[in-house]
Amino acid sequence: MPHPYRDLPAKAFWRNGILPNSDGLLAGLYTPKFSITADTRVATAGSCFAQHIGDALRHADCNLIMTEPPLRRMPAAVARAYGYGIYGARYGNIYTPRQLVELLEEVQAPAPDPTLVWARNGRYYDALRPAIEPNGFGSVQEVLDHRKFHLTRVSQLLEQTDIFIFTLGLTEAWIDRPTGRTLPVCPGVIAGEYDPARHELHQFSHAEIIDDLTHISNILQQFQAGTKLLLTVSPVPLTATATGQHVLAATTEAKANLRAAAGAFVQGNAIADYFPAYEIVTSAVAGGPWFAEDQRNVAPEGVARVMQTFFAAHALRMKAAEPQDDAPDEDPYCEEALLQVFAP
Amino acid sequence: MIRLCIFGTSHLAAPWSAYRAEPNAWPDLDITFVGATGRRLLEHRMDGARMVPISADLQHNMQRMTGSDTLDLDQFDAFAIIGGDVGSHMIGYVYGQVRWVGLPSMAGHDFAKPVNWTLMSEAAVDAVLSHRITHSLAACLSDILHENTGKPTLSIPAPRPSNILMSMDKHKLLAQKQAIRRGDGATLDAKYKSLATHCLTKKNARFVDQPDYTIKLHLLTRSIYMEDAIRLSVDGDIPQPEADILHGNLSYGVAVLDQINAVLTGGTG
Repeated sequence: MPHPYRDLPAKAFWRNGILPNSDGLLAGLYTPKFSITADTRVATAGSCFAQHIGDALRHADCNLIMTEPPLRRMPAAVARAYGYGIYGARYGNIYTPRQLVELLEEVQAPAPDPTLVWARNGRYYDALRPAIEPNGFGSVQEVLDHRKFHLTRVSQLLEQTDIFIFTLGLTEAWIDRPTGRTLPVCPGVIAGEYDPARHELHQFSHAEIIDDLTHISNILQQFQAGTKLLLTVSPVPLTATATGQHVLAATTEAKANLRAAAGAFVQGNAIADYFPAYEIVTSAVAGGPWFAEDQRNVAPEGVARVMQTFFAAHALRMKAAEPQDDAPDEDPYCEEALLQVFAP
Repeated sequence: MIRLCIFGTSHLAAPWSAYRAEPNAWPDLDITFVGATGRRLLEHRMDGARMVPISADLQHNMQRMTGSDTLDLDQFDAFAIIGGDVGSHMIGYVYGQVRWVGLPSMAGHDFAKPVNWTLMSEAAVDAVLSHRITHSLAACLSDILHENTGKPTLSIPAPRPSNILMSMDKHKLLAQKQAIRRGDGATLDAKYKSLATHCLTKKNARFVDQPDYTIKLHLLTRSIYMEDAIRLSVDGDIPQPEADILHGNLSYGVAVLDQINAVLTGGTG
């Protein structure tokens, strides 16, 4: 009997697999388990890098759905500053799978919590998405009203999503002990106040990530049976780590855990898949690493290469350009990046 | 005598026809009119203080309305811009899609209930409207006039739609009718005026809202100021279509010129 390597396709071998095709892409790097067509209703969420995916899909001939969309002809810069048009709903960046689990659970049983409202200079911020209002809201009640509205819109989003694309970003997060909620950013960075008695650093393990992804997939089924989960891992390194490690080591550990957990989760799972954006951006054999000068943000060429791979695999095409009032900001909005201002 | 140049979009027709009908009614003003639809008033280059059209449309209009195919801005003491994308329709555009917590109609609203509008913060609404005003034709043109002359510029908005709107079931500005019915008219009107004043001041123009006595229910114009409105046409007086409820008539034009006269000559306008 021939050994198992004998009849494998070229992509299975390093020597052949790393040879780019005529488009400069690695053939077979991404073979989708499920297709995305013009009718497929797609929603996105995740860490900063997910914004690039959403941006690209918005210009593709697929049905990217948004239930908290920007106004018609809303200036792109204003929309982005207020968190509109970035994701399927206005949930801001969701860095960890646990954050998404908790959001989905909250959508199922909405009860906005006034203790999760942060203050700064007389303005009030939703602690679970503090960056969506650059100047905060006028009152705690207004934050809660907006959260109620948001949760209803997320529910509507999930009820019509065929493929939910989720970009895993971090394993390190701050937990609000009294509520158990996972925060997108450490209190005190955007608003609120850090309290060591209340806020706890947590590093999600490989096992926890897999558990959370399982929960996410299960809850998605409750909103619409058959919703598929497409995972990516953000190649964007950590801005900072509070774990005591060097930020490079912490980044490597986090990305390794996320990548491994994503791989384990989708293995043999018919309704979950993995798209190797991380590999494309970070690997030399894919032409990278594709980072900007700060060695953190992904260079536009890297984003283009990622989306080119995605579009080619799904046979998606770009739509004709739509007129815009002005150009959007070039860099994605990243709460985590605000930590940079605290660097010595 | 104040030498005044009034630029405008389609809303220029009302004061232009009023001035042509009674050129001596405003003895303190010597007025030149330059009009073009859309954003064609920006289709020019500046040669010193001389405005030189770069499009055939603007050149044609300028020639027919001023007798010259260029415009020396130095010959004027002041400017006014009528319409130019500034008007209460901006409020309709927002209200047709959005609500915010401070609106009277939102008191006691259950925000978990599905609705066909988006809840937005007032700050975001202000940012959207400010962007629109700041990028309006009136604001852009005002910048150019200020940069090249330093003379005062008034921004006169498009009139509010006719109160006939209240009896209509279909219109692109129906949101304004809904706002009035829901008790949000005064709040919206105050926001519009406040943002227009603020944003246009930053663009070196003084916002002068339409005369109070022409306004009805905060967001509308009394229909007597809109019936039989004349369309902006350099080639003759063409009546607006009967269904038009957005343009002022000759009486409205008189009101606008009275107002400009009062503002520029130190009256109460």
